[in-house]
Amino acid sequence: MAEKTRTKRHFRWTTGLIIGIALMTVMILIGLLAPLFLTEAAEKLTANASQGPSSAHWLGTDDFGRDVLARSLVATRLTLVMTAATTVISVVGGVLIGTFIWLAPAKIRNAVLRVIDAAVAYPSLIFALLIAAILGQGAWSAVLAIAIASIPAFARLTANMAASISQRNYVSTARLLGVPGPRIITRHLLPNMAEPLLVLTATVFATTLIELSSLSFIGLGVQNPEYDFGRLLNEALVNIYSQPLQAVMPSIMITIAGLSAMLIGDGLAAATDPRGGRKFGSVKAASELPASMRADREALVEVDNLTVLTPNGVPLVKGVSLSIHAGEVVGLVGESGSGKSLTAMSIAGLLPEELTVRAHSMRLGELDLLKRNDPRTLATSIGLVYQDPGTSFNPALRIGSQLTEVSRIHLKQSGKTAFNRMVKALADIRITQPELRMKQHPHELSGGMLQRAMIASTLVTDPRLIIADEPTTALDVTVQADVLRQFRTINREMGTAMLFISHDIGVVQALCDKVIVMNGGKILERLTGAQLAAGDVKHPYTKALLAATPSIAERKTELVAVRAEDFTFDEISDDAPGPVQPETERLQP
Amino acid sequence: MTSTATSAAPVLEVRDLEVTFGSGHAAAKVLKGVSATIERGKTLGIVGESGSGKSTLAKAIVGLNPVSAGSIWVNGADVSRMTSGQRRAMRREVQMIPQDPYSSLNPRRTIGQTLAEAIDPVKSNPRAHREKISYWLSTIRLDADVAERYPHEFSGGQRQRIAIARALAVGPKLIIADEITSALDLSVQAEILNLISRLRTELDLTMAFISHDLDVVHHVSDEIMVLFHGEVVEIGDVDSVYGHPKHPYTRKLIDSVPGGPGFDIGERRAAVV
Repeated sequence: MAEKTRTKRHFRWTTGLIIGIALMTVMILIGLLAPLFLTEAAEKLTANASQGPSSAHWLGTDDFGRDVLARSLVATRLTLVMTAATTVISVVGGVLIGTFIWLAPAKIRNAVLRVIDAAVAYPSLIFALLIAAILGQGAWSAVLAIAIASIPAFARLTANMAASISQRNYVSTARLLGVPGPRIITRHLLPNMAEPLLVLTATVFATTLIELSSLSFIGLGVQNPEYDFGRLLNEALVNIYSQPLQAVMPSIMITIAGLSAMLIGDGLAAATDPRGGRKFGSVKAASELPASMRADREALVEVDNLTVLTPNGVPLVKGVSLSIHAGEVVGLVGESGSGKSLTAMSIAGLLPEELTVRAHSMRLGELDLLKRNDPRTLATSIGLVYQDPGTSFNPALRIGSQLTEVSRIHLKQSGKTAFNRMVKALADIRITQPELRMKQHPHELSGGMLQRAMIASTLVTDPRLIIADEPTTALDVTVQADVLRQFRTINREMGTAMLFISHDIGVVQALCDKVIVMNGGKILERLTGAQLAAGDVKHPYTKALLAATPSIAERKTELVAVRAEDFTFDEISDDAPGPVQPETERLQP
Repeated sequence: MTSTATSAAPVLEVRDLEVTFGSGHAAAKVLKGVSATIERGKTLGIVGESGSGKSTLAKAIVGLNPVSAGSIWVNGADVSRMTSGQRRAMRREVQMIPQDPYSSLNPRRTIGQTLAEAIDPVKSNPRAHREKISYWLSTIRLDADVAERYPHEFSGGQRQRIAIARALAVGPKLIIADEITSALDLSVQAEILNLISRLRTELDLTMAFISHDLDVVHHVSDEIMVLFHGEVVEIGDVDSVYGHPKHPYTRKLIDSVPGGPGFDIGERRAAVV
């Protein structure tokens, strides 16, 4: 069954968008109505030439006795029609070129892209002037000139968007299905870039308006007796000192038309950006919540009744209590959405700002993790190893400067001391040629080596706790075994406590002393690594997880499909046992 | 297809396949002479680590990667000797299920439209193929009314099932599953693996199942091929390869699986006081 929660994105109306649409509607109405009622005032030659403002002519008259206001209003229709035509030609042309080159063979595509690049390199107005000069004067040659000049930029943008969409699997699948090329464009490419294209079209409309007016202004565009805003400005220029008001109205009209198009474009962009309207949360101690477990003063890390809430108040972690003793490796295992990473990142103080963290208490040694701590203390007390070594390093910087960052900045070590200590740490975890590695860039090292280097860098500050968030998930199995061996050695030889987060039961049972099984933001079962390895588990969810895991050790005829949402027991606590089966009772390891 | 095609011929035969990317000094040979056959109704598991060439092999078979040497035979016909029309027909006989269930469905098309496109790539009218669509939806245990819905209304596992249905709806001779469970949670993975097992028996599927996860490949395959740096290190019956690996790399790979019999990462720390 499909999920009932439909995450339909509703359209967000911003003030800018509303104003933009209102202004554009007014402009269109003027364009429609003014020529019907004002043509005579705007075009009939009268004897009242070059008059100032009066009740009959609000903005005065021009050299031929025509009403300036009426001319500006009537010119709206031609200007808008020309701008719209230009926009349509350049958008259609750009979209056609930008999408169809993705159907063409690679050689033709690259050739066309280079031509477009070269064309984009010229300022489009100069390009348009050149084309207009060749085509000759006139309204429609101006339209054509600017449309052609705008095509390359639009084609380039479309091609870039089409490039990223044509990488998606549904496009390559459609090719395998034998869907004809033009249909791939209409079914798969265009619908998925419609939103950015609309926004771009609004922008193109605004720039086109300016360019068309510029061409008319310098006399290449609209010719007498026709007139658009640019042409009116051109006529006004002659009398700029005697009749300054003559230039004002066309200028205002150009500004309003351009502004409304830009506002619509910006508004559409904001409306389609799903990240709008975020609220920010805070960290606080839970006030009314009862202490759900006895304070374990012996423990190195103690988390009591941790709750993490979204800005809307939806709990993601629902009262988690755990303790880690010195020298202990604790595993947090669960599926996505179980809250395991959120729990670990709350301890590290690294949750996104908009989430609210509450706990009865949360400490590492004497350090109260609910307070805003000195970043130096945090950085040297907790070592972090992230999931993907490929993205946790900055590709532009050398390995050495990234690995020694904490030592140099927080421990105030000299560059040389930090370097030497890091080289030793790398050598300790058996990375070959450590000096050379320090001078290399991340892409020169394999994923496993980067992850081991990351682990080494957390060790030089001698942290009291290492938090490893899925540290082997992105690695190959043989490399994973290597990295796990490294964690085991560090723990055995240096006695560093670890909080190890993983979705992989096999990894957790092999490495961890204690294992905490999480689901839906709650702890369901606490086990020892040995218990998990032996299959000695009590909670139905843990049992189901084990039954769902294929294994090379035995070939199961049917895997049990777990529905994580079926297991929604309340958290076990000493004070309030709640509606919990006896076997889900907290197991004191 | 061609007259040489016989029912006795394997569904897929790959002979000394080489794939090279780039040319001149920058040329990188990604597949170095890979040979394999898949008989009707069998599943070949292809395992290997990153860079072993397993995805390159999959793409070469479906024609998304150019082949620099060797040959691919589908149902006894050499793909390289086909006319473009025959090749177009052949492409529909070999369908690939992609890895990522989120980018494999077009977010702007309903499930019905997506499946209709698989049934009829040109017209793609969901109303004309309503019965077939609900048949394939029932095969993957989804109600017929989901045809009206869009991909964002479905979970990762459901999307992956829809992607499987789309591949099946073409009526292919061979299905290539490229890491289809690696983006999924354990419980969802179980659901997909169960579906694949059921379809293998019900529809007598012939399949190449590619994965880096040795546990998963072990679960679904009849035969296993181990790839390492573009070469076939070992190929054979699933139980014999896992039980008695001949090549040291296969041994190392199997011993690296956490929870497996040969897995060892060293002694635990002495008990915490």
